[in-house]
Amino acid sequence: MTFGKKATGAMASLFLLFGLSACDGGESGGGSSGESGGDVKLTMWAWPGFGLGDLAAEYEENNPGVTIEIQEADYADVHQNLITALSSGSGAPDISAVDEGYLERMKKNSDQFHNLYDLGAKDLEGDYLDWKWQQANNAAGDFLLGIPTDVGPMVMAYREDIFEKAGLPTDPTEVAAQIDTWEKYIEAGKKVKETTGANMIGRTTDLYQAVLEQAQIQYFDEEENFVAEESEQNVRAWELATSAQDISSNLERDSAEWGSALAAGDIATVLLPPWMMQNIKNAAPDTAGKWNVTFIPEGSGNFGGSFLTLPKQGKNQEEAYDFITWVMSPDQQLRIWSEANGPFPSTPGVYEDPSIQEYNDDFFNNPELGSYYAEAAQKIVAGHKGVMHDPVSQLFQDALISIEDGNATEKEAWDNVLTEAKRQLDRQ
Amino acid sequence: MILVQPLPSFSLAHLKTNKQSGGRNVELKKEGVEVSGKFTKSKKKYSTAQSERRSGYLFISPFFILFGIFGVFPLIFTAYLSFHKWDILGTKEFIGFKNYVNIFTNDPLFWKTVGNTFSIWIISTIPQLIAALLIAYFLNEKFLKGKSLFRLAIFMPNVTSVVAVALVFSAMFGSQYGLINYVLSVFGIEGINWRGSYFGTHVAIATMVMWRWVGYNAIIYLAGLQSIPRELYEAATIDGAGKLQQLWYITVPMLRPIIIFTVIQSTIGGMQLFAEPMLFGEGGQYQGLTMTLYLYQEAFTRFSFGYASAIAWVLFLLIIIVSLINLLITKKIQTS
Amino acid sequence: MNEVGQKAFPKISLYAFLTVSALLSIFPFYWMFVVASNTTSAINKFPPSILPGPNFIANSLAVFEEIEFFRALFNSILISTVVTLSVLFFCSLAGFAFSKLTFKFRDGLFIFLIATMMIPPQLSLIPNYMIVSQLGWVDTLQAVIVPAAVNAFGVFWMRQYISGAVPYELIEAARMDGCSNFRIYWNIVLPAVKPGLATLGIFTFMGTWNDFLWPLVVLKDSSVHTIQIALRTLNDVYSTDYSLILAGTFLATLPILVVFLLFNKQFIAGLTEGAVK
Repeated sequence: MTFGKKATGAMASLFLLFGLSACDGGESGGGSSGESGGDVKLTMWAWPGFGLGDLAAEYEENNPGVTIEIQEADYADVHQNLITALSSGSGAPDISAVDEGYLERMKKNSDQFHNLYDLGAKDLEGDYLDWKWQQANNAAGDFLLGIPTDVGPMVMAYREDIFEKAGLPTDPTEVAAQIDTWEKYIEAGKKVKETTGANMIGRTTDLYQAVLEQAQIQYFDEEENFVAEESEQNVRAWELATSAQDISSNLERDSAEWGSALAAGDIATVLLPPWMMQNIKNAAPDTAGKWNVTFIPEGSGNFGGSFLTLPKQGKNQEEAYDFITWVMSPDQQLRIWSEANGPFPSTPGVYEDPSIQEYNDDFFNNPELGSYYAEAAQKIVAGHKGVMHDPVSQLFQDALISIEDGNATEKEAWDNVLTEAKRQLDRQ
Repeated sequence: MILVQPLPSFSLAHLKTNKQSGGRNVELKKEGVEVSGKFTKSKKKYSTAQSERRSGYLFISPFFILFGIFGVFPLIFTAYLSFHKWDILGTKEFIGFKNYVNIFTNDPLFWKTVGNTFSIWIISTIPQLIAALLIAYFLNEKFLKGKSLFRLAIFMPNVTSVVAVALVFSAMFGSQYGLINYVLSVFGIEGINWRGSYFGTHVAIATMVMWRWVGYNAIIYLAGLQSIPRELYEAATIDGAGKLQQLWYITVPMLRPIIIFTVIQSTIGGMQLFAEPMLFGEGGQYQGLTMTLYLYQEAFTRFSFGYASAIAWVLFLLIIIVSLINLLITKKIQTS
Repeated sequence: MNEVGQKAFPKISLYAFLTVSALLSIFPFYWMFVVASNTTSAINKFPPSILPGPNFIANSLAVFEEIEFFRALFNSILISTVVTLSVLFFCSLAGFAFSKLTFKFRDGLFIFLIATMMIPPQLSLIPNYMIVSQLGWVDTLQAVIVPAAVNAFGVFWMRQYISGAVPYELIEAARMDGCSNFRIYWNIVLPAVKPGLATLGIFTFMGTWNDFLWPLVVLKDSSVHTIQIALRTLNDVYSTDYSLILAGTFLATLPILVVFLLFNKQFIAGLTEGAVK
């Protein structure tokens, strides 16, 4: 019976493989923070794009006995894995990156992390942007959850050719002077729409987020009360966004269609943190040289940025602390930016460096691009966010989309979003 | 017209009564033993019964051991959590039935996701199973050339990874720059708002689901068709039955256990629909939000783990009820 | 019945139907290759390009540069093969017991087994992670292999298939010859259900190959990454390079096609021999 023989062979190889895989597992398992003979292996979780690979290798060279293993996973996966490991009590790495969107949740459970002030972080405070440093502090200011990595100061990229056709200025200084409030931005957008047919912005939610980020109180006050209904900034952001429906393409940022719209020249401005430059380049390479960059109206705003934290489950906090403070020191952050093509530094001390001041990109046609980002970074006001900031923000954005889709009136959407937000907060 | 009785087959209600084989008078040769006619098991010796019992428990034990390790604990843990408020990292606070009360009295969004899930499930499953059966039936035709090629083709959607499927489909179902609307516009037809309307989003997600699973079910049916003796079809052809009559009077009844399998499986799959809506996007009105996606968000973006656990249990019960209803309907159709 | 009805169902329309179905099935796969062989920007044109471009090799090389493609491929092959063999064996064994053996609580246990398929899997992640980490299996391949070694779906399928494809006569005859239950399973049932096994085999292999929800929770070290986890790390948070991702995905698909063709032989074998003859 040939089938029987084949199957027997298969079963034999099955058990063989079981044995084999068990051996494999034995070797690679348990290596999360093995310490033997003074050698320390640091594990670090991060998502792609930090640009730390070369620096980690250099650190290993200068610190014999220390090896650094950066385990990369998708952005959402890193956070989910970290939460899984923390809640089940084992498996967290020595070092984990945490995005600002998850930061408040981690701060609320800060007993799971080392207080970096205990390891000497107080001395480093002056190196970092003040607002960014404060984000990683608890309310009392005596617990520091993480060392800041990058920041996402927003500037406004605009299509020179479209602005010119619409009779708007094209010089960055003049544009910033003429469009210095959001009302004027919308006004300019209407002009663009009338004369060229292009939309001013990808989606009203982009505008909403940018405006919201410009004030300290957004959805929650300092006592963690839900104040979205009264919050001046939220109300203003909402009203501006709803009044911008006619000049919006109603396309999700970074979706395939958004790329098509950019490539086709149907979107005139993009509110742009440094990390998003690559998205535009990928999405619409043919528009190179047609863009310019200036400040967004009414100051600046932050979009994105992370921290390096030390979960308590890790065993080598001293060594881990030494590494993260070195790799996120001003000098190294500058190198991440200039050598590894990484994200924008959170250390203002290096902003005067030529590699930032003179940073430019042919795609954006602005020889002072880097200095715009540096200035924008220092104008940022840190918003006070609660643990539920992001889910609530998502609700407001979805409500705006439902208005743009024509499925709800402004009043309905506003009432619905407040009711739903309160429901979700009640369950917390 | 010939009459074909269903094979001994699975049905939850008649598990025990289906022992006697139906009128399948095919001559069987195996291991040199020639067998024909019917057997009944009534004269079974006691020792056989005992050995069957022993083997039976032994043979099914791997599943139950594994389930005991990896299945029971999550169930109990989830049930325990559902009576608590827990943000996954902090301490658990016992709140009794409050989570369940909330689901039934104060969570319209959850019930919206129930509606979405059912709507997407119905418009994807029914055409999907019918198309799969037809494709399998045709692929089983004796005269068909290039069987392997066709089989490989309908299998392709299964190997295209979900992420890639989402990318391709989101490019096709774009409201403004999508391929389908572009083609429609060539014919002067107004595009469909795939992303901003209930109809568009449900159809788009259902199409994705259908596209991914028709081939899968067809291959399942095809495997089932292999066990139907050709003689039945030959006899039917001699009797003058047309192809579609053969499909209805021979194939469907003979495939009964397999059809029940696919119905149960696509019910479960449909109720637990997750990947496609997540990748397509839920939309501003949550018209693409399904039950398990909502559960996932409650747990991993809002960190209301207790509430998510309560939803999980409600879902579990809901799926059981729907599966039972489906099973009854399937049985009705096939025995009528 | 009527001859005309039979003729009105011409072969050509059957071929047409199957060809259309085949083209629809293949199109997204084809387009995947189109994207993978172009640059990301080429697909963002409107209307998009529909012919393969020249960049497939360049994109593939970039994938090999970014991730440990072949190590991940090896892990995936190992995991999928072991899981598939184990599932084929244990599920067909249990399926045989559920369909052809009589024992107390059989039907109750079977209904229970089906009910376990209805548990939403998302919430099992954390409790299961707790178990696996208690066992010390985090970052080992058995963390993925063992929980998948036998599943309700496979048992259900084999139970259904065996009950339709293996008549009691065969079992009785073998029993009269004095065969043990395992001998009956091995010598009579298995050969009779080859198409069912082939189907279960290909779907198990493919499902294991494509799974990422559970592996990404337990396999963090790049040395144990499966191909799907490795491909996910191409997903830069800030900018998505579709060409790169789809080039990697396309390459990762080829092994499953090979496996399908291997199992395909079994389908054909089932076809020509007939299951029970």
